[in-house]
Amino acid sequence: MTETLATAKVTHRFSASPERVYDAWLEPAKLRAWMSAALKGFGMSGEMKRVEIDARVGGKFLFSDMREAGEARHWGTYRVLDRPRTIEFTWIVDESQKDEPSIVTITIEPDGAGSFVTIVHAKIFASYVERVEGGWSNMLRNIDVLLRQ
Amino acid sequence: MPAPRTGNLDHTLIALADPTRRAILRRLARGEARITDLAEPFAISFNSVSKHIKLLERADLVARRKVGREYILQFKPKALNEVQAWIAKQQAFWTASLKAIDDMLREEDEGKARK
Repeated sequence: MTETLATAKVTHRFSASPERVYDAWLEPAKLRAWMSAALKGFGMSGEMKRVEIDARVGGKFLFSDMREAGEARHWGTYRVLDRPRTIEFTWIVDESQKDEPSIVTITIEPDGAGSFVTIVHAKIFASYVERVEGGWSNMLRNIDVLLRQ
Repeated sequence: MPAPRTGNLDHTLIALADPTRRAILRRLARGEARITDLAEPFAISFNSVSKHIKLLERADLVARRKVGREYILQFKPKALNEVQAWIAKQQAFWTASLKAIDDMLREEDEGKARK
């Protein structure tokens, strides 16, 4: 069923422990530092304006940086926070997508003294976004329903 | 908010989410066909095929033109590029993010080692 979703997947091996990689996503000062560096790598200013993190399930986050066209915002809601294994959140980059978010799942596995990280970013459909609060099992059921229509 | 334009990513994904529609696309990728030609191999009604084709048209994956009394359907692969572009863009962003986290954590380690 999942073949029908557009999915971007990347992996990376870290020499740092799973705990440190996990915390880099949820501690505002750390996220501000690395996101700024990542954006600069794309030729942007990397000037972070807002980094707001409410690190609990159902909590919201907002990251914004200054670009030529003005403030670029990324926001969403944490769906899973399981230190140091899994972080999952909805990811919205544009007001017009707010009813059609995508979902980012970060999986952190121990790998020797370091860690192995997989990010899966899946674009999903508006018709079941509001029904997925029960988690993935519900979501898969809803995909089933969608595909049977 | 602007009205959803034809061929946007969500329309494309919804169009591709159904096995019958994917099969219709595969058939049209081999060459143009009439709606009546499509209904037969999929053992579904003309109305049902019509609904599937409307979703494929909304996604700009299929175009129709009238020839005499019949509609001829044609596959338009361009919208599929949008899906590919979205995937490539996200992969570039998350790859850069992981690299930046790695750099930051290494710098922290080097800072500690110097102390």
